[in-house]
Amino acid sequence: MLEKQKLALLEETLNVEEGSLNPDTVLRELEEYTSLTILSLIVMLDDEFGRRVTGAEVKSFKTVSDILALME
Amino acid sequence: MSLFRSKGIGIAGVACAVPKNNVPVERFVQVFGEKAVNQFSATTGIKATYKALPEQTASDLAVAAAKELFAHLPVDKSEIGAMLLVTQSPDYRRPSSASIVQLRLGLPIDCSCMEINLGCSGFVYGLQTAMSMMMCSDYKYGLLLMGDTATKLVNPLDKSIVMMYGDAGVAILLERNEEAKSVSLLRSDGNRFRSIVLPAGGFRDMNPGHECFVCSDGIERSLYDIFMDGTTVFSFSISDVPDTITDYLRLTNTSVADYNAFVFHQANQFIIKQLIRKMKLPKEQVPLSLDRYGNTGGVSIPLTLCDAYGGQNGGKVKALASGFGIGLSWGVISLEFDKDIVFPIVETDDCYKKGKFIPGKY
Repeated sequence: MLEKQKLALLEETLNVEEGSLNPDTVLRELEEYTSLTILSLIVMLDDEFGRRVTGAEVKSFKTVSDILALME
Repeated sequence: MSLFRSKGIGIAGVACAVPKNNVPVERFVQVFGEKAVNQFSATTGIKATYKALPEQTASDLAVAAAKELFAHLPVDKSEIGAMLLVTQSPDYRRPSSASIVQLRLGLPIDCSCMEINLGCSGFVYGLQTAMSMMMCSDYKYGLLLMGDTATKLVNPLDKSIVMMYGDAGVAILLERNEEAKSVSLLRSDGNRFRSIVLPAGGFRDMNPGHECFVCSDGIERSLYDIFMDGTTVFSFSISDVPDTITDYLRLTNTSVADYNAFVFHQANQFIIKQLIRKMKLPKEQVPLSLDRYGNTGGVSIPLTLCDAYGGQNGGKVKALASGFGIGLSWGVISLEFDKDIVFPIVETDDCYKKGKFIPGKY
């Protein structure tokens, strides 16, 4: 999957505007990055990439690039 | 592989009791604000729970459920050969509450009694244990009781779980039935024991201080409050649980179409929706009770049965049930029963006043 496609999927998952994310976007600064969208993120990583993340891993996400790194 | 096959033991009755004290989530608006409460309800699906009174214990709820069961099904108690109580909210550090329940229900000395310390997986494990014991003996009836009062162990300002837990007790009568068959698959992962834990009061750390500190999720708790790593538990619930159900179907050579009800531990609605989606289950065959009763731990599966079928006439239910949570511990079990042996949920404020010890009086 191309980075552009991953970003689009992440935007859809986090329910943010199309094209609004880039690898350097700081998650904490996103109004939409709430406990609810984090659950959707966990579902997406499991469904699409077979990644089973723990609470500690999610806590370590600082920027969008940290999530993109798991989307392999 | 812990796959268990049971034969000849059937479910003869299921009754459930909750405390009279009903707590709608709106009551928390003053503490957490309307937005947080609405968001909680939208995600979890929980609108109200029942909370035990300060003097009301898990064994009181289990006893109330058993009395309700015996009111519908008057059995000769001398023919009950085993009583198991599944709880993580015992009356005392010791003895186990099974002894108190035996006394209160008037079960004979010839009835074997013990407690099983499990939470959300307790129904699946408890039912399998009760059936296994019966298969090794020849007594007529077995009794599986469950009860929990997790609401008493939550920090009142913990918005992640204070609105989620509900208290309840259940009683399940097992009897010999030549046609009955059941298969269960049980799993456990101690590697993740830290993800749901109440650290203080056990023997690792008996009397630490009661001061609060900020946990990894930003919420303040003391060592005496339940902590849940919501992300890890969520991830577990939507991956290990459907994996286990898939393994179960493969190992038993059955498919979703072979069952007409899928009864899940009522953790939260978002998790159950994910399970329905992942397992491609017919939504109308997945009963829910958590909107009105919250997450009642291991009791939640039989409570959901009582809520869905209590008071209905006839009709066979062939259910696949899955309980999952603290431990981490989880499992899947199949069960067949007639709707008319499942009784409506009752409310109780009964408590065993004689159970309180007064200094200098014993």
